[in-house]
Amino acid sequence: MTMDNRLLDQTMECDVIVLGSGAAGCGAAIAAREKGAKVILIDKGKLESSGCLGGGHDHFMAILHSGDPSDSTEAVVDFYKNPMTGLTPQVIEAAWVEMMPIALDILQEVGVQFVKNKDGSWMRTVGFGQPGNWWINIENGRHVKRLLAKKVRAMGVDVVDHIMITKLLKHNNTVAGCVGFNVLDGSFHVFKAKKIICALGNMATRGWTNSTGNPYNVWFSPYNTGSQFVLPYQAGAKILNMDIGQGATLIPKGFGAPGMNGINSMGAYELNALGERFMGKYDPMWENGLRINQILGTYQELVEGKGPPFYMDMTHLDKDDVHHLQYVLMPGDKETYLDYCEQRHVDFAKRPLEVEISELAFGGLLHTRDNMETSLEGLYNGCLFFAFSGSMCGGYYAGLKAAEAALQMLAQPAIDEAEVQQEEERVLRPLKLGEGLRYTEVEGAIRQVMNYYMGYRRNHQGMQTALDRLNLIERYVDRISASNCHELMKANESAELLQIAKLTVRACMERKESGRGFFKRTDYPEMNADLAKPLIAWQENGEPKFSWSH
Amino acid sequence: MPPVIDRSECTLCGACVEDCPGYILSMSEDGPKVLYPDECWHCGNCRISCPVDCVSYRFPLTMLV
Repeated sequence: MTMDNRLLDQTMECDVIVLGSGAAGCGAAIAAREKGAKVILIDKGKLESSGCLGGGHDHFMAILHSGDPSDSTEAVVDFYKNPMTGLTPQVIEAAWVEMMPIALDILQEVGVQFVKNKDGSWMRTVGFGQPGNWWINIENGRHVKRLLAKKVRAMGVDVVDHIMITKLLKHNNTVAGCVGFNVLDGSFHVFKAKKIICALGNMATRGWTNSTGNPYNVWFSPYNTGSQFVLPYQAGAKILNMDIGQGATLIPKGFGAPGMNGINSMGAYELNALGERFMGKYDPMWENGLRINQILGTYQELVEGKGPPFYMDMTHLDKDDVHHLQYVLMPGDKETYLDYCEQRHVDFAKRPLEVEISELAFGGLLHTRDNMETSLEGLYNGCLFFAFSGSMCGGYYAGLKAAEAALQMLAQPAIDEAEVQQEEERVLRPLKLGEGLRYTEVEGAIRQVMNYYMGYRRNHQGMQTALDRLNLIERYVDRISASNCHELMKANESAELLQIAKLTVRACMERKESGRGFFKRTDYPEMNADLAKPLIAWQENGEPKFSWSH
Repeated sequence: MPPVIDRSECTLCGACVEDCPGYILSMSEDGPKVLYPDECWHCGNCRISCPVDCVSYRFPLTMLV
């Protein structure tokens, strides 16, 4: 079978495809374009508002080599070279730390303004248990994405908005392209490239809900249902830490917003319902310790009946600092923060802010070599590091490496045209189904399973039951129908969500210990020193396989 | 449910519809309509993109209790 003219008309090719136009994708596209590669940047959303950065961001992690030992390359490498992260010291230094000044230059060039102290230096704060003041505060955080987007478009990157990629194409075990559909008009598109960078975001949502029950009211983008892992996994790539990669934070009660790092680092006290400041029991750095300890600690207080409610108390802090935090930094992290504050009568300076433990988010890491290539030849990882800084810097380095490799290739790998046509039929099928299930029913069932059996306390029997129920749901996925393109997008997101949920449950069953993730196993409550290593997952003949990295 | 668009100020430019990352808005002859309010992230992109500042937010009760 060969592709018909209609599909040939909708085929684009280039040196480097970047999947995902968030912070990592922008970094990757800029670097690859600067190297001289022909670059296509593809996202389900629109470049100006896509990704987590589309919702704003209030700080950028960077060391500035001021002379203080904590403000050095060595300090960052030491902090992140933990064998659990799957990162080598070499890649932390080359792909993150050494890219920081480049990223800072780009951000200043496009108009990102960093908050300054009275002496003109940048305002920097500490957080996440790190040893130094690595977080440079951003003044105009809500506009960062638009500013970056302007540069990306101006430098000749071929930006393809509104395309949800559903499959990576291979030729002789090398990545050769990808296919997807336009979420506005349902048209199917084919992309061919010498190299592909996966920059679709390491945190995926809609598997769990917070107290509001709304899966879209979350701190990370709710429009990310796990493509970063599902697409490579289905193509045969290896993935790390789908078990302990799940993330969580504290959020303002009822409001899925990031920003707790700013609040913690400003010196807020976390209080339980008894008014006790308790974090010292769980982390020597109290609220500024590791986020995992803050969640495990807060949940332990909850189990012991000492909450809810929980609060972040900032009433003792300098009034100017607190005002800056609430009215400058927080709206930079999420544009509607002050609307929430107004409608809920939140005033950091006058009353403690009620907070809750957020929903969990799916997470993991593509198995990545120091040259940013994944275990699948031709596929690079743009999302290797943490937060806005890690995303943009790692993306940039992946862009450099992918472009260098692509520009040395003479020919483009071929794609299997029959595979393309089969994928088109599969992906667009909900539109042709007529009567069927609504995506909300299937997605709601997935979430019900994850909320009920895969929460902050788990056990083997519960996880096995979760897996059984997810397998039951899988029998219904083919029955999801769509009456328009929005519903078609949601139908495909639901199918993706099911895949990442199944893989996550299976991975969690493999790790028979507690203490390295945001949840605890009640059947294995202690940490096992022999399991201080990443869990690797991959697919063979449709079945998940696991091994421990050494 | 967020967002709320002030029709008296709206110039029908469509920027809010274009910039919504969740595609919850749709353009009609009467202006932008919120077709999928339950799928809003409250990210504020529609308001940032609005040239006449006619977008506001009303959070549902579930976010206020």
